[in-house]
Amino acid sequence: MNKKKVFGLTLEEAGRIKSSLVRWSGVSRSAKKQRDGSRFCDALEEGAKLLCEDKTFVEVFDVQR
Amino acid sequence: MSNQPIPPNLNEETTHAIISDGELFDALQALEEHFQQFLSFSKYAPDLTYFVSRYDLIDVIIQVHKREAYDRFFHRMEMSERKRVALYAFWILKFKPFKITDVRFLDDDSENVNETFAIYLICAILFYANKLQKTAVEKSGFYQNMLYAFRYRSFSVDSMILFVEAISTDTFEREYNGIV
Repeated sequence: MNKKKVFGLTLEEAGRIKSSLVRWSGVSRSAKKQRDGSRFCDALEEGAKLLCEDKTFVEVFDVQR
Repeated sequence: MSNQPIPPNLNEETTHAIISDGELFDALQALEEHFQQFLSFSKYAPDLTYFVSRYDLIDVIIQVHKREAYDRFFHRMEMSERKRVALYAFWILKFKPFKITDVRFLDDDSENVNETFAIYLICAILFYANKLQKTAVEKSGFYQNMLYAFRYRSFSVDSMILFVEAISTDTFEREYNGIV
Protein backbone atom coordinates (compact mmCIF):
# COMPACT_ATOMS: atom_id res chain seq x y z
CA MET A 1 0.00 0.00 0.00
CA ASN A 2 1.36 3.40 -1.00
CA LYS A 3 1.89 5.49 2.14
CA LYS A 4 4.06 8.12 0.51
CA LYS A 5 2.87 11.63 1.30
CA VAL A 6 2.80 14.69 -0.93
CA PHE A 7 1.87 18.01 0.67
CA GLY A 8 0.95 15.91 3.71
CA LEU A 9 -1.51 13.78 1.72
CA THR A 10 -1.46 10.08 0.94
CA LEU A 11 -2.80 8.85 -2.39
CA GLU A 12 -6.06 7.79 -0.72
CA GLU A 13 -6.57 11.17 0.98
CA ALA A 14 -5.87 13.02 -2.26
CA GLY A 15 -8.42 10.81 -4.02
CA ARG A 16 -11.00 11.49 -1.31
CA ILE A 17 -10.56 15.27 -1.63
CA LYS A 18 -10.80 14.96 -5.42
CA SER A 19 -14.07 13.05 -5.14
CA SER A 20 -15.54 15.65 -2.79
CA LEU A 21 -14.56 18.47 -5.17
CA VAL A 22 -16.07 16.65 -8.11
CA ARG A 23 -19.28 15.93 -6.19
CA TRP A 24 -19.50 19.57 -5.08
CA SER A 25 -19.15 20.87 -8.63
CA GLY A 26 -21.89 18.46 -9.75
CA VAL A 27 -24.25 19.70 -7.04
CA SER A 28 -23.57 23.29 -7.94
CA ARG A 29 -24.23 22.77 -11.66
CA SER A 30 -27.41 20.91 -10.96
CA ALA A 31 -28.64 23.73 -8.72
CA LYS A 32 -28.07 26.34 -11.40
CA LYS A 33 -29.79 24.21 -14.00
CA GLN A 34 -32.90 23.59 -11.99
CA ARG A 35 -33.48 27.24 -10.98
CA ASP A 36 -35.73 25.90 -8.29
CA GLY A 37 -35.72 27.30 -4.75
CA SER A 38 -36.16 24.11 -2.81
CA ARG A 39 -33.72 22.21 -4.95
CA PHE A 40 -31.20 25.00 -4.53
CA CYS A 41 -31.59 24.79 -0.74
CA ASP A 42 -31.09 21.03 -0.91
CA ALA A 43 -27.95 21.59 -2.92
CA LEU A 44 -26.65 24.09 -0.38
CA GLU A 45 -27.38 21.70 2.44
CA GLU A 46 -25.64 18.92 0.58
CA GLY A 47 -22.67 21.22 -0.04
CA ALA A 48 -22.49 22.18 3.62
CA LYS A 49 -22.50 18.51 4.58
CA LEU A 50 -19.68 17.82 2.18
CA LEU A 51 -17.64 20.69 3.55
CA CYS A 52 -18.12 19.48 7.13
CA GLU A 53 -17.32 15.90 6.18
CA ASP A 54 -14.12 16.94 4.52
CA LYS A 55 -13.12 19.22 7.38
CA THR A 56 -12.59 22.25 5.14
CA PHE A 57 -13.82 24.53 7.92
CA VAL A 58 -11.56 22.87 10.44
CA GLU A 59 -8.59 23.57 8.20
CA VAL A 60 -9.63 27.19 7.73
CA PHE A 61 -10.02 27.78 11.45
CA ASP A 62 -6.70 26.11 12.13
CA VAL A 63 -5.05 28.66 9.90
CA GLN A 64 -6.88 31.53 11.61
CA ARG A 65 -5.63 30.38 15.00
CA MET B 1 -10.27 21.90 -35.73
CA SER B 2 -9.11 18.67 -37.24
CA ASN B 3 -11.18 17.15 -40.03
CA GLN B 4 -10.74 13.65 -38.68
CA PRO B 5 -14.06 11.94 -37.94
CA ILE B 6 -15.08 11.63 -34.32
CA PRO B 7 -14.36 8.10 -33.08
CA PRO B 8 -17.61 6.15 -32.60
CA ASN B 9 -16.99 5.78 -28.86
CA LEU B 10 -16.96 9.60 -28.51
CA ASN B 11 -20.18 11.51 -29.14
CA GLU B 12 -22.30 14.28 -27.63
CA GLU B 13 -23.12 11.99 -24.72
CA THR B 14 -19.45 11.68 -23.82
CA THR B 15 -18.64 13.10 -20.41
CA HIS B 16 -15.31 14.19 -19.04
CA ALA B 17 -13.44 11.34 -17.34
CA ILE B 18 -12.16 12.71 -14.05
CA ILE B 19 -8.42 12.40 -13.47
CA SER B 20 -7.42 9.13 -11.82
CA ASP B 21 -6.04 9.08 -8.27
CA GLY B 22 -2.64 7.92 -9.52
CA GLU B 23 -2.36 10.72 -12.10
CA LEU B 24 -3.52 13.23 -9.49
CA PHE B 25 -0.89 12.05 -7.03
CA ASP B 26 1.85 12.25 -9.68
CA ALA B 27 0.80 15.81 -10.54
CA LEU B 28 0.78 16.75 -6.85
CA GLN B 29 4.25 15.26 -6.47
CA ALA B 30 5.56 17.25 -9.46
CA LEU B 31 4.04 20.45 -8.06
CA GLU B 32 5.59 19.81 -4.66
CA GLU B 33 9.02 19.30 -6.25
CA HIS B 34 8.65 22.53 -8.22
CA PHE B 35 7.49 24.43 -5.15
CA GLN B 36 10.40 23.16 -3.05
CA GLN B 37 12.81 24.15 -5.80
CA PHE B 38 11.14 27.56 -6.04
CA LEU B 39 11.57 28.07 -2.28
CA SER B 40 15.21 27.02 -2.45
CA PHE B 41 15.83 29.72 -5.09
CA SER B 42 14.02 32.34 -2.99
CA LYS B 43 15.23 34.25 0.02
CA TYR B 44 13.36 32.05 2.47
CA ALA B 45 15.08 29.97 5.16
CA PRO B 46 15.04 26.16 4.81
CA ASP B 47 12.84 25.88 7.92
CA LEU B 48 10.21 28.20 6.42
CA THR B 49 6.65 27.52 7.56
CA TYR B 50 3.90 27.84 4.98
CA PHE B 51 0.33 26.73 4.44
CA VAL B 52 -0.88 24.90 1.36
CA SER B 53 -4.59 24.65 0.68
CA ARG B 54 -4.71 21.09 -0.55
CA TYR B 55 -8.30 21.48 -1.77
CA ASP B 56 -7.32 24.40 -3.98
CA LEU B 57 -4.22 22.63 -5.23
CA ILE B 58 -6.19 19.53 -6.21
CA ASP B 59 -8.76 21.79 -7.87
CA VAL B 60 -5.92 23.36 -9.90
CA ILE B 61 -4.92 19.92 -11.16
CA ILE B 62 -8.52 18.97 -11.96
CA GLN B 63 -9.05 22.19 -13.94
CA VAL B 64 -5.86 21.63 -15.98
CA HIS B 65 -6.86 18.03 -16.64
CA LYS B 66 -10.31 19.19 -17.84
CA ARG B 67 -8.73 21.59 -20.31
CA GLU B 68 -6.42 18.84 -21.59
CA ALA B 69 -9.47 16.65 -22.15
CA TYR B 70 -11.23 19.54 -23.93
CA ASP B 71 -8.31 20.02 -26.33
CA ARG B 72 -8.09 16.30 -26.97
CA PHE B 73 -11.81 15.93 -27.67
CA PHE B 74 -12.63 19.10 -29.61
CA HIS B 75 -9.30 19.77 -31.33
CA ARG B 76 -7.66 16.31 -31.43
CA MET B 77 -4.58 17.89 -29.90
CA GLU B 78 -2.24 16.81 -27.15
CA MET B 79 -1.33 19.74 -24.98
CA SER B 80 2.20 21.14 -25.18
CA GLU B 81 4.28 21.81 -22.08
CA ARG B 82 3.92 25.55 -22.70
CA LYS B 83 0.16 25.37 -22.57
CA ARG B 84 0.24 23.14 -19.54
CA VAL B 85 2.49 25.57 -17.69
CA ALA B 86 0.26 28.49 -18.69
CA LEU B 87 -2.76 26.65 -17.32
CA TYR B 88 -1.04 25.80 -14.05
CA ALA B 89 0.05 29.44 -13.73
CA PHE B 90 -3.48 30.66 -14.47
CA TRP B 91 -5.21 28.41 -11.95
CA ILE B 92 -2.57 29.02 -9.27
CA LEU B 93 -3.19 32.74 -9.71
CA LYS B 94 -6.92 32.13 -9.50
CA PHE B 95 -7.05 29.85 -6.46
CA LYS B 96 -3.88 31.08 -4.69
CA PRO B 97 -3.20 27.82 -2.83
CA PHE B 98 0.05 28.86 -1.13
CA LYS B 99 0.48 31.15 1.86
CA ILE B 100 3.63 32.01 3.79
CA THR B 101 2.82 31.85 7.49
CA ASP B 102 6.36 32.37 8.83
CA VAL B 103 6.40 35.62 10.86
CA ARG B 104 10.04 36.22 9.89
CA PHE B 105 9.07 36.66 6.26
CA LEU B 106 5.69 38.38 6.36
CA ASP B 107 6.12 41.22 3.87
CA ASP B 108 4.98 42.28 0.40
CA ASP B 109 7.05 39.54 -1.22
CA SER B 110 5.52 36.80 0.88
CA GLU B 111 2.03 38.04 -0.03
CA ASN B 112 2.97 37.55 -3.68
CA VAL B 113 4.11 33.97 -3.23
CA ASN B 114 1.48 32.58 -5.64
CA GLU B 115 2.33 35.18 -8.27
CA THR B 116 6.08 34.61 -7.96
CA PHE B 117 5.57 30.84 -8.11
CA ALA B 118 3.54 31.27 -11.31
CA ILE B 119 6.37 33.37 -12.76
CA TYR B 120 8.86 30.72 -11.64
CA LEU B 121 6.92 28.08 -13.60
CA ILE B 122 6.84 30.31 -16.69
CA CYS B 123 10.57 31.04 -16.31
CA ALA B 124 11.23 27.29 -16.12
CA ILE B 125 9.62 26.82 -19.54
CA LEU B 126 11.54 29.83 -20.88
CA PHE B 127 14.74 28.25 -19.59
CA TYR B 128 14.04 24.99 -21.42
CA ALA B 129 13.15 26.94 -24.56
CA ASN B 130 16.51 28.71 -24.24
CA LYS B 131 14.70 32.05 -23.99
CA LEU B 132 15.87 33.08 -20.58
CA GLN B 133 18.75 35.52 -20.60
CA LYS B 134 21.31 35.31 -17.85
CA THR B 135 20.69 38.85 -16.64
CA ALA B 136 19.01 39.32 -13.26
CA VAL B 137 15.39 38.67 -14.17
CA GLU B 138 14.00 40.00 -10.91
CA LYS B 139 15.41 43.45 -11.51
CA SER B 140 13.96 43.82 -14.97
CA GLY B 141 10.93 45.98 -15.62
CA PHE B 142 9.30 43.07 -17.43
CA TYR B 143 9.37 40.96 -14.27
CA GLN B 144 7.86 43.77 -12.21
CA ASN B 145 5.15 44.41 -14.78
CA MET B 146 4.34 40.72 -14.95
CA LEU B 147 4.16 40.49 -11.15
CA TYR B 148 1.87 43.52 -10.99
CA ALA B 149 -0.37 42.20 -13.76
CA PHE B 150 -0.62 38.77 -12.16
CA ARG B 151 -1.52 40.36 -8.83
CA TYR B 152 -4.01 43.00 -9.90
CA ARG B 153 -5.11 42.38 -13.48
CA SER B 154 -7.63 39.91 -14.77
CA PHE B 155 -6.67 37.25 -17.33
CA SER B 156 -8.62 34.65 -19.21
CA VAL B 157 -7.26 31.14 -19.66
CA ASP B 158 -6.71 31.71 -23.36
CA SER B 159 -4.91 35.00 -22.87
CA MET B 160 -2.54 33.34 -20.41
CA ILE B 161 -1.83 30.53 -22.90
CA LEU B 162 -1.24 33.10 -25.65
CA PHE B 163 1.05 35.11 -23.40
CA VAL B 164 3.24 32.14 -22.42
CA GLU B 165 3.39 30.85 -26.00
CA ALA B 166 4.28 34.31 -27.29
CA ILE B 167 7.22 34.85 -24.94
CA SER B 168 8.51 31.29 -25.19
CA THR B 169 8.52 31.01 -28.99
CA ASP B 170 9.94 33.06 -31.85
CA THR B 171 6.56 34.53 -32.80
CA PHE B 172 7.20 38.11 -31.78
CA GLU B 173 10.86 38.08 -32.71
CA ARG B 174 9.98 37.01 -36.26
CA GLU B 175 7.07 39.35 -36.79
CA TYR B 176 8.06 42.42 -34.84
CA ASN B 177 11.84 42.31 -34.67
CA GLY B 178 13.22 45.85 -34.37
CA ILE B 179 9.90 47.57 -33.77
CA VAL B 180 10.14 47.70 -29.96
